[in-house]
Amino acid sequence: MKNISKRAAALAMTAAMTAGLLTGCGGAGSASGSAASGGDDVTTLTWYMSINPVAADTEKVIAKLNEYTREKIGVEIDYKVIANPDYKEKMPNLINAGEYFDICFTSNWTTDYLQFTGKDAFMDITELLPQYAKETYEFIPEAVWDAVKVNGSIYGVPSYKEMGWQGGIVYNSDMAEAYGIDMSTVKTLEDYTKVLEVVAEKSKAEGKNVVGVSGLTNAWPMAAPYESLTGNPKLPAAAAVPEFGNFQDVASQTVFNQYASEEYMNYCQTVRGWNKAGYLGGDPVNYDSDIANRDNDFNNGALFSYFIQYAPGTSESMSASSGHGVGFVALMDPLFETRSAMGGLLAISSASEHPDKALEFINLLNTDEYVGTLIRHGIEGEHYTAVGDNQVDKTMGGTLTDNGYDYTYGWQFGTPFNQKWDISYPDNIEQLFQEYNDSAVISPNNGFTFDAVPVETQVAALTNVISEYTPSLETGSVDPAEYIPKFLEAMQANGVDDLMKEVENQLTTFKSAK
Amino acid sequence: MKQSAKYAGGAYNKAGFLKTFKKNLPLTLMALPALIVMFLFRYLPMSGLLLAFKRFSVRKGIFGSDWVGLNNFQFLFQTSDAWVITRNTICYNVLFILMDLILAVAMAIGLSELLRKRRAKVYQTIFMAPYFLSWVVVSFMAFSLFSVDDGLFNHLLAYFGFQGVDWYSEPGKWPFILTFFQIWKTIGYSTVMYISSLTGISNDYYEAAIIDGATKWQQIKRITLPCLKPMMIVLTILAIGRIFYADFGLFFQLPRNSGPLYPATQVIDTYVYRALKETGNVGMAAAASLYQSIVGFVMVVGANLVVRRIEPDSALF
Amino acid sequence: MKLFKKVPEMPSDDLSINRISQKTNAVLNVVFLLWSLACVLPLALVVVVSFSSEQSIFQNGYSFFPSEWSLDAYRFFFKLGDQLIRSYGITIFVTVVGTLFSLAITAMFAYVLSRSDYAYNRLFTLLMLFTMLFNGGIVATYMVNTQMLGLGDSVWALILPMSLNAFYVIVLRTFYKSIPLEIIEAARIDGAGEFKTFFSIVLPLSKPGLATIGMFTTIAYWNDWFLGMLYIVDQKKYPVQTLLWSMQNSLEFMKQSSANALEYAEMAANAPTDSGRMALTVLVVLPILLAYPFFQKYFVKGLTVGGVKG
Repeated sequence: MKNISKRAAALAMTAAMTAGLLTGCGGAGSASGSAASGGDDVTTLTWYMSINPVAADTEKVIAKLNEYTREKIGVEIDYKVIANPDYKEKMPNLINAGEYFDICFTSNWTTDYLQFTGKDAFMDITELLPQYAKETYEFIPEAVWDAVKVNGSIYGVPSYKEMGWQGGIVYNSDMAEAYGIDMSTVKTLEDYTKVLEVVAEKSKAEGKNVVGVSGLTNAWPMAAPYESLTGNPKLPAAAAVPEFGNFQDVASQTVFNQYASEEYMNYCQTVRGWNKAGYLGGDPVNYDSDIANRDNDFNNGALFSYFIQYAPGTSESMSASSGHGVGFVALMDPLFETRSAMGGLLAISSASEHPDKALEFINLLNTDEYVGTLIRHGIEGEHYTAVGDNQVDKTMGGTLTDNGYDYTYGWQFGTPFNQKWDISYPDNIEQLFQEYNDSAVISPNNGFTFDAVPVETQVAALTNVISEYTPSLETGSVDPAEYIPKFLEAMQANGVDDLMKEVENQLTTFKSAK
Repeated sequence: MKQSAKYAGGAYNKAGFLKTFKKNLPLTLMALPALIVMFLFRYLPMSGLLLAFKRFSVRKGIFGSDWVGLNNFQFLFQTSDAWVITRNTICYNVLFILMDLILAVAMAIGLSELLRKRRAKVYQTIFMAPYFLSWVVVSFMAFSLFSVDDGLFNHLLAYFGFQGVDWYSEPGKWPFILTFFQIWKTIGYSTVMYISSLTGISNDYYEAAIIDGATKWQQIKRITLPCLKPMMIVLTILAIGRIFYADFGLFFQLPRNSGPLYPATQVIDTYVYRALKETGNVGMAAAASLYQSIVGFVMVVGANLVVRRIEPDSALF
Repeated sequence: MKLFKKVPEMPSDDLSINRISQKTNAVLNVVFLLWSLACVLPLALVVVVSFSSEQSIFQNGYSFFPSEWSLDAYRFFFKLGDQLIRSYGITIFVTVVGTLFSLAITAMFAYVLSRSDYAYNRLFTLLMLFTMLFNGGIVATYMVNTQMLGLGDSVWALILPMSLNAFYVIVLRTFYKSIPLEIIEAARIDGAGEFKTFFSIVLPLSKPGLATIGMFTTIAYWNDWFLGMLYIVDQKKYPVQTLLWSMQNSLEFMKQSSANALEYAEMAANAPTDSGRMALTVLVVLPILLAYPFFQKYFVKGLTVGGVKG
């Protein structure tokens, strides 16, 4: 009953909005018509974008972009580009204060998509999408659209890239070869113990003290992958993913606390063993907090391997930058869950006067290769030279640092499949992505977004408990047999049961609605 | 003008409001620019206090958002760490206030008594130096001292044949470390405040004391300290008003957010930061800040009351 | 009351009886010297590390004797070229205008509050104290400043919001209170109005206090990066602190997200993170440290107070 009325309301709203748009366009036509050279209506869209770092030649590129979009869809962009770390500070305040914008970048790591959707900051574009961004709507797989839905509605266009995340270990393959290690035998965390043993033994024999592995603060969900139901893998409330065949004893429960599982105990015991054996260096908790230091150790052969979330092409580019061979061993197939689609989205403000035009523009970013390549690589002949049909060379006879328009994370603008690739990528990169995405396991409750509002108090308290206990447990710095019970007790005292119950209730509602 | 100035103001004046207002007009005009700034930049935003009782919606704005009663405050009290957080915040602050008061006054007097004034100036400049370093930079420097593998301290310990210490996992050592760094960073600032206060003491007092044959120590006790008292009282009351606030950089950056250290480093500001990082709930942030404000307010009013009993002239209001 | 006995003219520095003994002096000097080391060594280390090569930092940690010197960190920031100069210009403007404005309104307000014969003394003191304890939070403040007052992306957003600090008002008020009311009375009897009394008699008497507050205000304006981060959208209008902070964070951001990013930029691979952080500190701290002695000249005992005698 409730659902029906909600839907009706949404429909009515869309209808009203479209009507408003029509009159709005008519009214604006006379005002802004004079500005356009051809006499057509030109809509100016304010776009707040987070990208790093802001390129020197941004204005030139945007001028070029506006030339094109004015012709094509009657849109000019008022481009407010802000470097990633600044955006994180600025944008939430801008939105909270009700500053006007049409399009903004959002994600789960900056200007949080779910948070601001919850605060009514973004527009529900479910109905508008097939109308104004048809190609994009069809191009992006349904599972991805499902993942960004909040209460059944879409509030942002995700950047479609690799589906989900894949945990594993990158390692110095030159060193592995020298020590005679066969990494293909490594399938699980336990298998890795033997490798670490060899590394420690052989490197000591050479008079070196090589740290075996780091990155353990991210390793636990890779060792025993689960679906994170809260959208934050650190918070308790998980569901088993049948394809991975783990969490057998609790798999029948809709929701379980991953920290209370046997798997967690096993993981902690394993790394405890590694820590005691000295494979992790003296201070595994802090080792990774200085990434620069870790990278340097890895490049210089002082660190053998570390845990990462892998994307196609990573090991190739890493071997280029590290000066030695880099291999990757996966601990799991890629897992696609709700949070995976939230690495980057473009959302439309709930106060936007031109959601139709904004969507048309976002559509270009994702499907018009000229626009995709322009916004990501700049102007041909000035910022890159085309190599074949699909690649670009950005060196322009100098170094990359001299290039006035060079972005590392082009996917923040839209799908990288709509942008030419840098020549540093393997030729078959799109195929690699395809394979990766085909092998991805889609989590059983994909599309379920947890609304934390009813249990915010508990989440707040639990977040603190978790950040107190997990770093030392998950790096083997303390004895799990003693500390896990303490940890569970602390969670109990801070309302873990309330959280789990709430997740379960919401999940049941979600499932029955499906 | 002369007349009005002579009897200027006094709320006890039985004359009407207008008359009082007129009499005080010149001084009111003098205060006006500050009052305007205060109104625009401090009082207009006070509407944000409402958010502590609301669930904020961007579309509805501050006034239109829905009321949620006291829900936003719950997370401050329902955590099992509530006691630890409160204890840490208050104990550290009491310690800092006392240390700062005693050391800064001692340093200011010491500096002003040095035989070579030029040297005093140089010291004073140097003592300010740590104040300019951000906590992030300080934390990196501290890490180069305390790092388990490469830290200077563990190298020294090893050199003298002792076992290395796992500095970032042993909470017992951190009350000392935190206090040291806090004092180290801020003492220069407070010292300057007291030095400039010392400068204001008339030489007549000392000259008279010397005629009476007072020793240096007696002069300090009878003249310097009493003259510094108003400043000491004011700075202390103001510090007490901030007793429920903690320097985020000190408690978060310096211990590198290390979990095992929480029993010694968890204070209200770090707790709130971690708690709200996930949810970004501005209502809960407002609630936490209001809670801190109210505690501060009660403390200041209390402290002022005590001061007014003992030393009415030095009271804030 | 013996204290107030008049003494014949006698410059204070010649009062040899009033000096501390050589022995006490030596002890004090040793203590201060040690503390100075604790203060100055870290700063020196910052300077040295900022000139060390990234490679030598990795090998030896932070060290006073790096195995290799390098200007990379500064080159990284100086690459900003005109932008850096423009940003310094903005910061200097903000600092100078901000300090003057802030000092002016603070000095007047504090004086008014220090006058026990002022009718609204208590009311305004309480109003101000209240702003020190309570604040509306960032959401409301941001709304007022950008939507109501239209300060977004403007240099005034960097100046006005922090121009009145209740703490400084109260400290300055305490200074004024040490000026005997008789002096003010005397000026009145001579026919001086409130403004004249304030500017020609009170202000000159409170130079040490004004210098202290002025210095703290200057430091606060100079060091502030957060207002720039909040209110300035266009990077070209960044004050220097915000600019450097943003550069440094971009660099660290790049390095930290390299592990799961699609690409690994050539730039990130050899950019100076550690030395960059220190170079940033040097670029920020040195100018303000150089300005310090300017304020300090008012702190030497006995410079000003002779005037109390009227």
